[in-house]
This record gives sequence, structure tokens and C-alpha cells, in this order.
Amino acid sequence: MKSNLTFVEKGTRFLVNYSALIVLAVLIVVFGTLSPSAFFSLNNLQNIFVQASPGGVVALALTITMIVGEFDLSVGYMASLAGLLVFGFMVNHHDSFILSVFYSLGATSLLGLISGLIVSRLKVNAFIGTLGIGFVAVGIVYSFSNGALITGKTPHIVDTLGLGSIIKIQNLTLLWICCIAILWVVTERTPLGVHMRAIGGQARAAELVGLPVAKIRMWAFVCSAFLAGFGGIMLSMRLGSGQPNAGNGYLLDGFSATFLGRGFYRAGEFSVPGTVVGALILQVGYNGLAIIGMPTAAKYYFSGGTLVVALALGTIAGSYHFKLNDRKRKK
Amino acid sequence: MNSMTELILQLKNVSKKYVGLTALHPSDLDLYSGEILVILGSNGAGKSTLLKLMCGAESSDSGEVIFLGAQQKHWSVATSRSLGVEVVHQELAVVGELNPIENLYLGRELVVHKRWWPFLARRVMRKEGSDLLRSLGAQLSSLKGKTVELSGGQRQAVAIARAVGWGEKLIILDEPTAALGIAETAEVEQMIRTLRGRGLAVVLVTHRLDQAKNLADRVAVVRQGRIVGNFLKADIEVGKLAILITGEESASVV
Ligand SMILES: Nc1ncnc2c1ncn2[C@@H]1O[C@H](COP(=O)(O)OP(=O)(O)OP(=O)(O)O)[C@@H](O)[C@H]1O
Ligand SMILES: [Mg+2]
Repeated sequence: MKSNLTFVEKGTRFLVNYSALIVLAVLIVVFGTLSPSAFFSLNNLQNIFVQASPGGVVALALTITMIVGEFDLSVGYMASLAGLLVFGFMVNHHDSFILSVFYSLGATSLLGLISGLIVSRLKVNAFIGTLGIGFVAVGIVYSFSNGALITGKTPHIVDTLGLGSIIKIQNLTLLWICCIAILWVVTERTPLGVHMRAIGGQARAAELVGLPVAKIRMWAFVCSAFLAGFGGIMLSMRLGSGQPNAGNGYLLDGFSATFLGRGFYRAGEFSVPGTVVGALILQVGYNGLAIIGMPTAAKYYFSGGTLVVALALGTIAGSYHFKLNDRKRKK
Repeated sequence: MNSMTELILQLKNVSKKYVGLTALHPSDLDLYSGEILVILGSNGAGKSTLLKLMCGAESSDSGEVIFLGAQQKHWSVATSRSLGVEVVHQELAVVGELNPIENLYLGRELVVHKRWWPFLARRVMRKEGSDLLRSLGAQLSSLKGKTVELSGGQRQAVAIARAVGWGEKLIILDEPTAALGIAETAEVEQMIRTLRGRGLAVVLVTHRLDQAKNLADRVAVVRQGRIVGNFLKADIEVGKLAILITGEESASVV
């Protein structure tokens, strides 16, 4: 079959399968050429990774729901909520770090469970359901903090996690890598991962072989809210305070990253490795633009632009796949 | 019927209503081991609905389902599959986004390190899965690409292989040869006979009267949501069948 493809077709297929990786490479080459010493310094590379880490975890949260064919508009608000709560418990209630993390993630997971129930059992559209729960999260943020930043004396571990590193790799980056590893194993190497992809691909067909579609979708929302909260806590460790809106922007970045990710690993589909590459594309872009001295506005043009380009690339990849299939079938 | 036959599945007074439409009025049907039951009927008659009640893909609005003498309170796909019932559905028989091997093992993947956390035994599944496909004469261009990239007939072959690979008591086939070529159809028909020889109950929906006459031990005709005929091979007369199917005396046999 493959030998039937012409050189151009092979090239196009390569572009489609690796588009995200190519975009990442191009960005690195461009910024590396424009400002080699600043861009490739160890300090800057560490920066890129550590800044990508909290948002990278939130993007993974979104990816989990996308793989099962849903989406979660509350991830940014969940990140803000957990980041704020963890400081609220530590500073205002003098709870231990572990307990504060436990409460915060418990809160977001519970909200995720409610989203999951609403969407998978009551069959409310995910758009409405998760946006509604997202606003509930914002409401909790405001009733907890009155919209003010929470800061104060915190246990040592907060600074260690937020600013420390082990052999040149920042602790936050290590946490991101742990999330990536666990989620990669679950989604790519276990039966559950196959079931998730089956449900995202064709939910009714998955139901017809007896897979618990509603249950798996519900747990995907719980997992998403938990991870989004985790990403939010990572961010607040880095900021050294709980800020009411800190994680909100991660929703759009998360969407960009997941859609860019369709151009890698599983072409045309959402995947954990794809989203990681997507998150790196965004961060390399933000970082490079800052290094070459572009104004803040450029960051937003880049961020909006990549979201649109990512969606367009996804569509092109999808339609290309179909054309190729037609061709194959005619033979 | 010889003394070896065994009652596999009994549907008693089962029915199915969709919003504003009765797809199946209360009906009875018995399925026996070593017997091929062919279900005939025109489009929209309720054949697929009947099959979905047999395997638990839809729940019946009334009556009861009895499997090997045991009444089934929660007759679901998961239950029926675990008891050796396999189905090739007319639509959505496979998940297009998964590869053929993943489709074959969907819902009962082989795993290693079971006690700690189940990891897919991917190499074993690929080996045994491709052996199964080959033993059934399925010619697939690729086992790694998505199943949607295969031809319609190849996709059908994957679904049939899954049913044959795991069906131990009852195999339900909803128009399995609709997408197949002449040679492939003959192979599937031969396989259906083999399954009967092994003592399975086989249910086959088809629109082809010649196929029905060749394969059936028993024929049931569904018309407008009712089982309007149920008779043994000896009584099968193609002309009568056509009249039963359409409900018109003047129907011509095609
Ligand atoms: N999920 C559903 N929702 C609503 N109506 C349905 C559904 N499935 C089937 N029906 C209706 O039930 C009736 C019987 O459908 P069914 O699929 O059982 O027919 P069939 O005999 O298998 O037809 P065909 O030969 O075309 O496959 C049809 O009128 C159909 O419109
Ligand atoms: Mg049908």
C-alpha cells in the first residue's frame, strides 16, 4: 500500500504526521538564529520548561476529556481555584502543605465529578455543563478571597517546589514530566486507554461492545479537574501566592496545545505526547518573542494566531486523511 | 431436531418502543444450539431491533430474556458477551479510529502484570489477532492503521472475526455479507455452517432469499414490528416468504 504513494504524497503525509514537531523545530531555529546566546542559554532553556510546566499539566487535563470526545471549559478556573485554595488553607487556616493540597484537589475533583455527572448522565452539553461549573469555581474563589491575593508565611516546601531544581531540571518541570509519564502509560499502554480512544472515536460503537461509556466519560472529567487543580497549585508555588485569576488563561493555551498536538504522534487525533509538543510550541513562541524584544501585544497575536492555525491544521490533516483513504479504496 | 439441541436463548414477550414509534411489538422467539435461524423482513421491519434485544444492546420494554434456562434481569451487552454471545452489528460493527487488532480485542484486551496495573500485551494480541484473521481468510492491508482506512468488506471481516473468535454459545449476524464479494460471501456462509457444526446457535439477518434458503434451519419473518412467520427448513417456500415479507399477494420474488 505505502509503496503506491508518490513522492509528493509521502512528503504530505510526513508533514501531516509531524506538523507540530516541524513547527516547534522552526520556532527554535528562528529564535535561535535571531538571538543565539540568549535563547540557548541554560537559564533560558530552564525558563522555557518551567514556564510551560503548570500550563502543560492543565493542557493534559483538557486532553483527557478531548480523548473521550468531550471537552472541559472549566480547566482554567479550576487551576485558579486550586492555586488560591492551597494558599488560603496554608496561610489563613494554618493547615499543613499536604493537607492544603489534599483539600484543594479534593475541591476541584468534586467539581469535576459534578461536571461529569451533568455531562455524562444528564446528557447536558459539555459546553454548558463545564462552563457552568467553571463559574461555580470562580464563585468559590471570590467567596474565599474577596478577589484579593492570598500571601503570607508558608512552609518551606512551597519555595522548594516552586523555585528549586534537581540536577539542572526545575522541580515543577519534574512534576510535569511525572504527569506526562503516568498519563502516557494510561492512555497508550493500558486497556483503559484503548477504551477512551474508542469512546472518543465512536461512542455508540463502543457501547455496542459493552464498554461503560458514561462511566469512563464521567471519570475523565474528574481526572481533568484534578489535573487542572494540580497545574494551578504548581503555578501558585511558582508565584508564591494564591491569585484569583492566575490560571484562567490556561484554558485557551490548553486548547491551542491540544489542537496543535493533533499534528504529532496520532495524526489528526488528541494524544498526550501531542499535547506536550503543543505546549512547548506555545512556550517557545512566548519566550522567543520576549527575548527578541517584541512588545507584550505580540504574545497575544502569537497565542491567538497559533490557536487558529492549530484548528486549521487539524482540519487539513483530517481532510487529507480522508482523501488518502479514498485513493486507497479506489485501487 | 436431534436430542443434542439445547435451548440457548428465549425471548418472551419482548418489545421495543422508540419515541413515537413501536419498532417491535411484543414477540416470542427461541434460539437453539446447532441451528441457523434466518430473519427476513423489509427495511425498517424491526430485524435489527430484535437482534439488539437478543444481545442486550437495547433493553426490552416488556417480557423477559432467558439464557440457558436462567432468567436475565439485567440483560446488557457486557453480560451477554461474558456468556458467549457475539454480534456483528449492521452499523458501527467496529470503531473506525482503532486499529483492527484493537477492535478484535476491544473490551477484553490481553494484559500483563495484572495484579499491579494491567498493561496491554500488545505483541501477543498482534500475533494471535493476526493469526485469527488469517485463519478466517481475512486479507487486510494493514493491521496498524485505523480500521476506517480499510475497505468496507475488510472492516466487516474484522467484525466477523471478532464474533467467531469469542462467540461460544450464540452468534448474531446482521447482514454480514452485505459488503462482501462473491468469494468472501461464500467463505462467510461456509463459516456459518461450521459454527452450526460446532453446536452454536446462529442468527442471521439477510435480504437474500437464496442465502436464506441455503443456510436456514429455521426462518422467521418480521413485518412492521411483528414476527409474522416462524417455520422450519422443510416448510420454506420462496414464493410464500416473499408474500410474508411484503404482506402483498402480488409480490414478485427477486
Ligand atoms: N435508535 C432508534 N431511534 C428511533 N427509532 C429507531 C431507532 N432504531 C430503529 N428505529 C426505528 O425502528 C424501526 C425498525 O428499525 P430496524 O433497524 O430494526 O429495522 P431493520 O428491519 O433492521 O431494517 P433494515 O433492513 O433497513 O436494516 C424503524 O422504523 C426505525 O426507524
Ligand atoms: Mg437492520
